[in-house]
This record gives sequence, C-alpha cells and structure tokens, in this order.
Amino acid sequence: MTTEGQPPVLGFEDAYREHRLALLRLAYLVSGSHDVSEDVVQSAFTSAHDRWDQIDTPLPYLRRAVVNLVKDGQRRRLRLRTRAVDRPDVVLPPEVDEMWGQLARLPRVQRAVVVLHYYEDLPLTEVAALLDRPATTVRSDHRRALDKLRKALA
Amino acid sequence: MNDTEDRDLIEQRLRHTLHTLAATVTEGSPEGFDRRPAARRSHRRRWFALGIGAIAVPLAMTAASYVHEGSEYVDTIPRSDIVLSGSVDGSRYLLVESHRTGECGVPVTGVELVEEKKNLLGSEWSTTGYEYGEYLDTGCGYVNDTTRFLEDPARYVDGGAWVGDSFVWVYAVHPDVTGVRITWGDTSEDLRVHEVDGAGYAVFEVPHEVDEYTSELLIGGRVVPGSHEVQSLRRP
Repeated sequence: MTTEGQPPVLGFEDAYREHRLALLRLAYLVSGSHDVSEDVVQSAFTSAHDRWDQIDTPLPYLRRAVVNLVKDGQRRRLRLRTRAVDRPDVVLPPEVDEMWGQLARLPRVQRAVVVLHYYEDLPLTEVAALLDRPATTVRSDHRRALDKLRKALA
Repeated sequence: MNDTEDRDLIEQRLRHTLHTLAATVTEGSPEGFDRRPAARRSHRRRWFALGIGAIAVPLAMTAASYVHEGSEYVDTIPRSDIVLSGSVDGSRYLLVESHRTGECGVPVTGVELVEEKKNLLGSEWSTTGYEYGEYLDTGCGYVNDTTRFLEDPARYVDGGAWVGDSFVWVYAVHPDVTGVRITWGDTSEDLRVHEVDGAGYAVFEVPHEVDEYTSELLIGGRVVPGSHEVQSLRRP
C-alpha cells in the first residue's frame, strides 16, 4: 500500500504506540510464542521505519508484515504441538485451553487463516490477499481447519 | 446437532478462544520505538554452514528427506541454529535447523546433517536434510505435509549419511515422542529427541561393529505400538 508523496495519517511513533499491542496479540495467536511475537513485531516496525512516508495504510501493512514474518522468518520456532505452545500465566477455562491446544496442531497456514478470519474479522478474500494465496485455496484452508477442529473437539 | 449448528458452535468457540488468549498479551507499548532487535539470542560464530539454494527432491522420494548439493558456497551459520554437534572417528558434524525455502516458496522445516570436512567455509555445500512428514506433489512442486504423520505417533522419517568412516542416522519423529530406543545384541541405547519446528529429531551414530539394529519410538518411556523396525546397514 504505497502512495506518492502522501504522508500516513499516523506518524511512526504514534503508530508504534497505537498498534504495537494489537500486533503482538496477532503475532502470538498466529505463532503461539511470545518470543516470536516480540521478534516479528519489532522486525515489522523496523522494516517499516525507513519507508514510513511511503506507507499509506500502516495497520494493514504492519499486519501483513507480521503474519509473513511469522510464516517465513520465524517459522522454525513455531510449534506443531499442543504442549509446545506458550501458555499464558493465567488459568484458562477448559474449553478455551482445549481449543487453543487444537489450534496449535493446525498447519501454520490454516492457523493464520483462522486467526485472521475469526480474530481480526477479515473476510476470506482479504485473508487471501494478506497471505498472498488464491482465494479458493484460502477457502479450502478455512474449511479444512474447521473440519479438523470439529473432529478433534467432537 | 446438525452441521450448521455444529459449525456455528465451533466458530463461536474459536472467536471466544482467540479473544481470550489475545487478552492475555497485556504488555503495554513502550515509550518509543527502539530499532534494536527485540530478543537477544545466543552469540553467533563463524564456522561452517549451509549455502542457500533450491532443494533437489528426487521424484521417487516420498518420505521427507533430501540431499542438498550444489554450486553455492558455504557461508556462516548462527550458533542458535545448531541443534547438536558430534564427532565420529575424528570427523565433526552438526545437526542444524534448516532455513531453506523449498518449491512453491514454502519454508523447509526440520534439520540438515552437515559434516564439517565437506562444508568448509567457501566450499560448495553438501548436506542431507530431514523433515518430519511426507512430500506431497502439488501443482507447483513437492511440499512437505505432516497431516498423516501427526495422526499416528508411530510414523517417522529416517535416513542417514556417512560422516567420515561412520554412519550417522537421523530420526524425525512425532511431537509426542520423547525418545528413540536403539537395540543391538545385548546393548540398548535411548536417543535424546530434540525439538525443531515442533517435531522431534534424534541422531544415532552407528557403531562400526553394528550391521543390524532395531529401533523403537518411546513416549514417556513406553514403546509406541507399531514403531518397532529392524534396520540393516550395508557397508561398502
């Protein structure tokens, strides 16, 4: 999302303060790791810093950067298994804990689709654009993820 | 409950779970942006490492392992990528986390076995890689898929390479597997499993006198049913 000569609505520091926590939460839900979340959000802001005046819509740009960084750059630290995800320092209701565990078992793309659709409330077409995948593939990812969760939680 | 109600319920639980978990991330924004990286990892050192390039996947290969050889040159490897190091007959080797991008632009998970002598700085790389899962032939190429493997802890990928005059065997196992038991003659050895990308990886340095051994996967010290396998080694 770039424009020529139009400054973003928010200055960089303001955007950092305003969006950092939301992006940390998104990164945590996609990666399952607090360490990865910190890394990728910092990296996303760092990469945006030098070209901030070219970024028209900071939040979608940063959101995309975070998801892609989790997917590509930090994937080695992602967890496939339930017991490996970072658990928050709070006691979760059993049904939440169970669902969180099953989410961790989803392939990373399906997990990203689920988080972006159900947490960020993005339509699947926007999820497809953000993940740079065909819309039909993302619809399939979405359906498969729900099927897996439904079977696992039956 | 019909399918629609079922799906509605799952979606409702999903939203509730995601928002509940998101709310546990409560770290407030710092006063200002700091360009330094967020997390400090271990120090890096120059030693030997992998080149970066495409992966050659033999067409007949279905288990997720591959050979990586080519004209690109060995560069440095971060210490934090080293899963373990070993030495057999004076030849050093590393098991390192893979950081390649495979066909279809998909990141390659798992590990690569790197022998020091074959991968000195500036030389052409020569490694073998192991991914937990199986390769599926997609429209754009082969992509590793863990779906069927995750459903059955007895499934695993294994393969080996010569390090010096010894054979080093690598196991890629289910996330729940905690050990790999190797038995030959009256000797038994439980290999430690290291986690990489959520799966487990273990290394067995095959002793010179061993031509055949059995392997079994362990979960909490108990043998995983169906994982028993006899391995025969043909030496040149």
